Amino acid sequence: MKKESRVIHQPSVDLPDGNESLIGPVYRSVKFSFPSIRAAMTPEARHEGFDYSRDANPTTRQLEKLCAELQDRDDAICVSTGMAAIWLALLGNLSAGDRVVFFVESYRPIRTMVRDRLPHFGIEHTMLSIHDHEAIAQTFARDDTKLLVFEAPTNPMLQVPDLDAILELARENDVTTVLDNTFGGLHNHGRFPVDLFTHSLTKYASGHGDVMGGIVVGDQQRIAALKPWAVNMGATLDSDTAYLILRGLRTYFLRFERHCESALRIAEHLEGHAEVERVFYPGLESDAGHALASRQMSGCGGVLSFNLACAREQTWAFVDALEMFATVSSVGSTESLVAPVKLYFGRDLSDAEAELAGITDGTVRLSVGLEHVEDLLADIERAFGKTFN
Amino acid sequence: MPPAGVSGMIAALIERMGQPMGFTTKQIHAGVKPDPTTGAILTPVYQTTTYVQDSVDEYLAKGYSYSRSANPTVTALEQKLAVLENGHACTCYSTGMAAIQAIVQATLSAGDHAIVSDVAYGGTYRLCTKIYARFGVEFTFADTASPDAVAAAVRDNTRLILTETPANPTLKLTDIAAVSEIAAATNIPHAVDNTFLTPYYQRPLDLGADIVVHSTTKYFDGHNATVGGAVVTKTAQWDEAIRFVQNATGVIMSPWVAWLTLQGIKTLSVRMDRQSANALAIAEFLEAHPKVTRVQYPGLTSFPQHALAKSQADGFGAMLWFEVEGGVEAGKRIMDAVEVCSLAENLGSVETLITHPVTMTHADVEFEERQRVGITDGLVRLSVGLEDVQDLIDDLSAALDSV
Repeated sequence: MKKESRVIHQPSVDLPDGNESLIGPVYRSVKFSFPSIRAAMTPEARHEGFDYSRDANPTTRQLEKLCAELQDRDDAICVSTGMAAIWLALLGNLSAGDRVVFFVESYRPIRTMVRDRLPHFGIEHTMLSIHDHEAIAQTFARDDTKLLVFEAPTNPMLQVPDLDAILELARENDVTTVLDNTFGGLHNHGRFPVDLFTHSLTKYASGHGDVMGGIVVGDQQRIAALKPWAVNMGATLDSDTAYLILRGLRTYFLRFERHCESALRIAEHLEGHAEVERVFYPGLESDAGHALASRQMSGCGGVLSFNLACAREQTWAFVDALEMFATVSSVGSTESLVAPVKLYFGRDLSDAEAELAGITDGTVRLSVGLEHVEDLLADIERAFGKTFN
Repeated sequence: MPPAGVSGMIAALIERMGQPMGFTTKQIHAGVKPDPTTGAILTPVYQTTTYVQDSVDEYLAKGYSYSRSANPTVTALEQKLAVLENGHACTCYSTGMAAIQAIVQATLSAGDHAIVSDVAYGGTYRLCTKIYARFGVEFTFADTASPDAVAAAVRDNTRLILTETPANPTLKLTDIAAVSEIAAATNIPHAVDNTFLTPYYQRPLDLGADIVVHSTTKYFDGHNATVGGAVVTKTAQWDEAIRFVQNATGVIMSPWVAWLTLQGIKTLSVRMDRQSANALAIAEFLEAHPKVTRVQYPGLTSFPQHALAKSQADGFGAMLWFEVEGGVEAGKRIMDAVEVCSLAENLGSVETLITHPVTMTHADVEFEERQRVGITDGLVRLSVGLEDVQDLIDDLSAALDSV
C-alpha cells in the first residue's frame, strides 16, 4: 500500500488475548464496518451492531445501558441536552390534535416548549397545579389528553408530586407519563410505573459543570419506538461527552449524598433566619412535601429555594453579595450556584400564575455544591449582613 | 514565563473569603477563576500552541508565549496544586516519572550524589540505576525510615534526598520532619513523593521538606483516565530551577490532561475518605483471616509505624498489602480468582486494583535488594477503590477460600 493510503488506513493495535484496558476506549469513530454487506444485514448487526455514530456509538451505548440500569428500566437513548430529551419524549408520543398536561410549578423551558413550540405542531395544552388532583383527574378524562410531562421535585420550587395518585390517574385514563427526574436523580423513582424518564445529564450525572447531555429512559418497547425519532432528530450525544459523563457517574453517589447533607444544613440554617419567609426543601421536616418525599425518594438533592421578605432590588443585592455561589442558571455541579428565581425562571408567568407557583420577588434558588458547608454558611451570613444591615 | 505568583493568589482568595479556607473548598476553587470574556465557570481547555502578542514591547505582557513554556489550563492546575500543598509554585509534567526526572535534573550533575529511599517506586529505581548512573551520578539507596541511616549516608557531594512515604509497595514510612532537619542542616534539598496520601492527608512542605512530587495519574485524576505528574516547591528559587528543566526538556502536560485532572481533584477528599475507610475495613478483615499470614496498613494498630502515621498525616490512605499462607503460588491464585478487584498496575483510582509487585511493578529490582527492603515473593498489593466495601470483602473472601 502506498503511504498516501496508509495514512488513511492506519495500522490497528490489537490487544493480546486476555490483555484488556480497564476503562473502555472513547470510540471517536463516526463509522463502523462489517466484513461484508451480508454480515451487516443480519438481524443482530442491525439491532445490536454499530454503523454510524449518529445512530449508535459504543461509548454512548455504555452510558445508555448504565443509566437505564440506575433508573430500573430496560433501555435508554442519549441526546445532546436535557431539553432535547424532553423534546424527543414529547414529539415521539404526540400527534396533531392531542393535549398535553403540565404544571405551573415546572421548569420554565418545559413550559416554553409546551406553550410556545407544541402549538406549531397542532398540540393543545392545559397548565395546572401539581397539587390539584381534582383538576388533573378532570383533564385526564378528556379524550384528547394523551400525555403528562412533569418533574419530581419541580424546578425551581421543589414541589413534590404524589406519584402514586398522579400515576394511577394517568393509568386509568391511558395518559402517557413523562417524568423529568433530573432533580430526583437517576437512583430515585425507578419503582414507580412512569412510562418515560428524562434527565439532564448536565446536572448530577456528570456533576462537574463541564458537559451537557440528556437521556430518555424507559422499557424496551417505548425506547424502540422512540429510536427512529432520535436518529432523525440527530440530537446525538458525542462519545467524548458520553465518556466524561461515565467518568462523572463514578462519584455520583458520593456527590449526591454530600449535596443532600449540605443542602439540608443550609435549609435548616435559613429556616431560622429573620429575613427568610419560607424555605422550600423537601428534606426539611417542616416542608409540605417532606412526608411524600420521605416515602418516594432516597435523598432530596442539593437544590433548595427560599423566599426573602424583601423587594426585588434587595433580593438581587443579596444574590450579588454571595461570593461562593456563582450566579448562573444550572444546578447539580461541584460548585455552588445561585439564581434569582423570578428573573431567571418566572418571566413567562402572570402574577396569578407566579403566586400559584409560590414565586415572589424575594425567591432565591441555591444549588449547593461540594465546598465545605461551613464556608458556604459563612458566605450566606456575610451576604445577609451586607444586604440587610 | 509563569503568570503571577501563587502566594499572592492565596492571599487574595483568603482576603475575599474573610477566613482561612477549608481544604475541600480549596480543592474546588483554588486556581480556577471564571473566564473573563464569557463568565464560563471552568477554565477553558486552551488547546493552542501559541499566543498573539499585542506588540514587541508588550511581549509576554499577558504571561504566555508558547504552550511548552506555559498554557493557561495547565497553569490553573499548577496553581491549584501549589495551594493544596501550601507551596510557592508548581510545574506539571506528562507523567509522574517525568516530574521525578525534572527534580533529578535540576539538582544533580555528574560527580554529584543523591540519597534515595531504598523502597522507592520501581520506576524511580530504574531511572537512577539505568539512566542517571550512566551520566556519572551516584546514588545511595538508604533506609529512610531511619533518620540515622539517612544522616550516615550524607557525603560532601550529596545534592538531593528523595523519599517516598508511605513507600510503594512496602508502605514503610519516612519521618518527614526528621529527615528534613538532617537535609536542612547540610543544605541539601529534601524532595518527598506524596503520591500515596496527597495533600488532603499529608503536607510535606509544612513538615520541612523543600519539594513535593506527585504522579497525578493516581488520586488527583482518580479515574484511571490520564497520566501526569507534578512538582511543588517551597521557594521561588527551586521553582525557577525546575521550571527551566520542564521548559527545556518539554516533558509537559497537555491542556486536556490538565483539565481532566482539575475536574478529578474536585472530588479528591470525598474519594480519599471513602477509599481509606474501605481500606481499613479490608485490612481488618484480612488480619482476622486464618489464611492470611501478614497484613500491612498504616491504619492498623498492629502497623509498626502506626504512631508516626497518625502524627504526620491526617489519614492512612487506601493502599495495603498482605501475604497469604502458601507463598507465591497462593498469591498468584488469589489474583487470578478475584473478580471485583482488577489485576492492573496503576493505583489510586476509583477501581480497586490488585498487584503482584515481584512480577509487575518491581520486576527490575534485584532479588537481594527486594529481600532486603521487604518485597517478598508472596506480597500482594491492593489499591482500594470506591466499590461497595462488602463486595470487595466478599471477592477477597471467595478468592482466599479457593486457595
